[in-house]
Amino acid sequence: MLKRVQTIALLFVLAAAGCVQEEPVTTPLVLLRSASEFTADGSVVAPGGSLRFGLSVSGGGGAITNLVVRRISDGVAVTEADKGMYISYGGLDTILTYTRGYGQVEQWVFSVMNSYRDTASVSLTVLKGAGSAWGEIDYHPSIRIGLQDNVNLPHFADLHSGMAWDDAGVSGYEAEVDMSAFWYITSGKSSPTLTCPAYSSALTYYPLFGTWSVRNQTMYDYYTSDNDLITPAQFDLADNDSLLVNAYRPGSVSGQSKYAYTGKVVPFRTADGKYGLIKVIYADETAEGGMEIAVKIQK
Amino acid sequence: MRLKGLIIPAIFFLTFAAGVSAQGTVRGRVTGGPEGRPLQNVAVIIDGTRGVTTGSDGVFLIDRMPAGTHSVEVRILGYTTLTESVEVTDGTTVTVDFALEEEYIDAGEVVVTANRGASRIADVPARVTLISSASIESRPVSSVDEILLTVPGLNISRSFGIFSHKSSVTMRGLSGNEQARVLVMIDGVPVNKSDGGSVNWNLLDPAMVDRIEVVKGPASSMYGSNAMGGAVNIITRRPEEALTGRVTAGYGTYNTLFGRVSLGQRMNPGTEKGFYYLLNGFYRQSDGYITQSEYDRAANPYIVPSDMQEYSGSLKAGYSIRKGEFIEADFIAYNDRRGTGELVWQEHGNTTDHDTWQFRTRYSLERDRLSADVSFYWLKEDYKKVNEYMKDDYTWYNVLSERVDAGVLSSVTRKAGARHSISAGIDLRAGSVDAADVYYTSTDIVYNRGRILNTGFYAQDAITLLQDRLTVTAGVRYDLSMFRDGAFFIDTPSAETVFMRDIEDRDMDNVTWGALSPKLAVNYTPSPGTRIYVSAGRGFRPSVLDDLCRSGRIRGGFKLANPQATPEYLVNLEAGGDFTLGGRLRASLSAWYSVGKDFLYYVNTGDSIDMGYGLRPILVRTNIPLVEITGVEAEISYPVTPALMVGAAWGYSYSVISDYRPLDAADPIDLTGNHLTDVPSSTLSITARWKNRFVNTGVMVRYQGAMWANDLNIFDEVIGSDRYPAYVTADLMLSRVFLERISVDLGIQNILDTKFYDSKGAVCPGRFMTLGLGYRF
Repeated sequence: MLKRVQTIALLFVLAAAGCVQEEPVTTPLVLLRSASEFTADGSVVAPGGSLRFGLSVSGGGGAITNLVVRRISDGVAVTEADKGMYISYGGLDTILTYTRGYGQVEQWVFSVMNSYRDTASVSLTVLKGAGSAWGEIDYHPSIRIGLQDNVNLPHFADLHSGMAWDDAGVSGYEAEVDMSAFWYITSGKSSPTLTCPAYSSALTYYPLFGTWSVRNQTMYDYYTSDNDLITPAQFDLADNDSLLVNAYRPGSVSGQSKYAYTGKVVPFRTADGKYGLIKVIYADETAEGGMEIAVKIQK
Repeated sequence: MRLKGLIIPAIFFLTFAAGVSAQGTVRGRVTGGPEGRPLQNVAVIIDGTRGVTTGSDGVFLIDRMPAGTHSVEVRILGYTTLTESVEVTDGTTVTVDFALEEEYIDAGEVVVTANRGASRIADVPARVTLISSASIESRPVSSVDEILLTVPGLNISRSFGIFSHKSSVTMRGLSGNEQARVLVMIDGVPVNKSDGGSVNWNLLDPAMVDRIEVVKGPASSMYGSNAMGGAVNIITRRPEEALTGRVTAGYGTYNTLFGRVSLGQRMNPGTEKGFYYLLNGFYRQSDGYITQSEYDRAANPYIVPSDMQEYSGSLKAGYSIRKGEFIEADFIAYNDRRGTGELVWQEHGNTTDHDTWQFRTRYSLERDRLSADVSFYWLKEDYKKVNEYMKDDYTWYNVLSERVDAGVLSSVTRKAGARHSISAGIDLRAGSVDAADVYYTSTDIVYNRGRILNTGFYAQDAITLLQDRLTVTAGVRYDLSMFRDGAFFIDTPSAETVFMRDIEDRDMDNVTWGALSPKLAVNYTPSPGTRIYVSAGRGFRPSVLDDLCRSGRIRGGFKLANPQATPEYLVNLEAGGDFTLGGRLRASLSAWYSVGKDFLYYVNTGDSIDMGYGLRPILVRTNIPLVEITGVEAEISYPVTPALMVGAAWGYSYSVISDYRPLDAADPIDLTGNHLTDVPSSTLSITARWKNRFVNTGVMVRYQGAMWANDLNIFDEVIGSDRYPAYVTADLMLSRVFLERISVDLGIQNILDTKFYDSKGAVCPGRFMTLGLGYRF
């Protein structure tokens, strides 16, 4: 009798155990790639030196929805990137490039979140090397582009090379285009505006972007521009990429920069991670007008 | 003596036997209206002396009819009276059926909303509109609020037809985007949510509605807050027959499918006592259409049609204890999902989702000199809004909001002496919100929560004088409103929300307000069909929870929570009259002047905030000193024949901010002299309904005047003007009943395919057609 009871009890326990639904693994995972091309934990890099991080991310049970990059330098944390995304299959492999700052010790923290709001982080430390390693820059003293209804000037500019193309000539060079410009009235104010192919609202003025397979995203620091934190004189004096890197405030950036009036200086970062400055030499305030800019960009 | 004693009964017996031997039976069925519905309680009168009434199936039976020719007359209020001659022969049954046509009558329409008890409209010293079931059935409406489009002075904001997840009904010059100023009730219980004052107008299927009563002007002396601008009471159907049911299915524009089913029963039909129940269910889905403006379509590659899916079930059950006394309970469960026209990664894209449960119980007593009504209600809405969009990068967050409203409403009316009718009551209402914006593409969660409690006491005396021709109504209500447990805070903020860190408040101050809502009105009826009235009253409304405890993005800037805002008031002076000309043409006219004091309005604080795309102004809903509204309404109706009714309704209002004071002296914005937004300057509707043997027809043509587009009354970039343009729409309803049980309905809304736009330049669905097939059993 006792044996029968034990057997039944055992079966019951086994059945109960079998009924326990296994919780899905939802925690994402982020790994730093360790190939020699990437900056390693404990590396010594002089200010201005290039940092290159390789990340491999999996979302666990959910889609990868967020990647945050933080630089903690001498106890001060700056969010260098906070990017929303939706990668439901296959994970994310990405390479991120930054420039070493002035702090004695820089800790870089990479955090990811998935669609269940589960998070994971990984970090590494970069020590300060001697001297400086600020890099060379390219300077394009005059790029003339047309606003949306201008039929004489080109509309699409490559900030790296200083080239610009019109609607017909851009064919084959779409992947090179970093910038366009348009004019509109917003909040009751006239606004010559910088934009980029990936910014969704740019389609209103340049529907051609919708047909491109590569649409670069240039991020403009509108806060520095709106508040005139960099003057044209400072722009003119820049002979390495120190000002270009340090002027850029990653917490106030967008794919379009309004109120790009004559005399404004707008820090930017291109899709391939190059920092730069745009000085607006002149900007018309009509849709048929044009804009002349000078550009300094990391080589 | 003995013989005599036998002869007399024998004579009686023979006489009786002779009578019996020459008897027959008359039976028949009485139906009414174009659908041929069986009519219950119809008086069937033989030769003007003897009578029976029909049962719930419309059938009557009269036996022991002496042989010979007889007249059979059938009559019931609201239908034509018919008389037929029948020849009864011995031992046979004669069948005679009657199909009655509806007849226009003016028996003095009775409403229950104005005085929280039954009153004739002609005796109510206010402008009250009753929309009957006949009127509802003659219009191709897709939602309950659209039924109100013919009421002068009402402003219905439903930009996207059945695809609108949000709609509002306001009246008499109050902004069309502020539902909280008009109290909306279903069967007498409020359905404005304390969170935002909004009403889910999709909750009920129009087929469930029996009638709607609209009380215009402040009704706060009876109902307290929300009734500042008026009250709308939607009264749902009740079963009247032994067992009845209906199944309907249909198809419409944009691949719209719908179905509804109802089943009702009254256990002891024709008696004053017994159980009854009514079950309703409906389902609707549609592929939808692209609502966005041309501007947005060009800018956004993720635009998709705004689709919809909704379903609902309800049960109403009650017990009639005796005549004039019943207890009733009902339950409604509703779920919808409506797309808002953008899809990036989520399965259905940007959507709104309501899961709503409403429970109500009611006890009602009506005796000769006493009536009493007590209701308990509980309304819970789980609201979810999925937001996803691609700008610089992908953003996805869900707004999750739990809104609960509950209360007890009570009223007692007693006739005191020959002249006084005294009403009094106590209402307890409580509402709460517990909401969070949960981000999935960043770490942020933004919380807001709060509760509002309201206690109201009212008393009213209606004094009749001059042989009931003059009624003086004086009433007053005091409301105490309490805001409690308010909080607004953020967990793990990123750049998406970190700018709100400075305005977090996890423990907002408790605030209590009191408001007095008096009313004095006089109604004079010099002759039947004619009356005039004047009234003065004040209504109030405290802030909604959303303005008290939630800060966040709004169109044009950033809204700051303001628990310190005091209630707003509306003082209303009104005069009007009803007239009957030629015995048939009914006309009514009202004019009013309202003064809004401490009006709740968005005001620029003078500060600005960077929400991640540059500086935007910070606004706060606070009190501005003075708003003035003036208006006129007129309505006529004329029964050309009992089957053909035509009518017209016109409303005009002029709403202006008379005094505006900026919060910041340096703020250059001065709205003094500006018009309120989202208020049509005038509306005109012309309606006709014709019931006949072939195709019942209903037509409505409606004009809506221009509306100011923004507070500054300046040019709006999206709509290309300072005003939304005026427009004209026309609706048509055709219906026919076959074989007494099968109905076919064709509804066409917006026949002219007029395109009109909402405040974001989004476009309406245009012409919208549905074809429904129904079966009644």
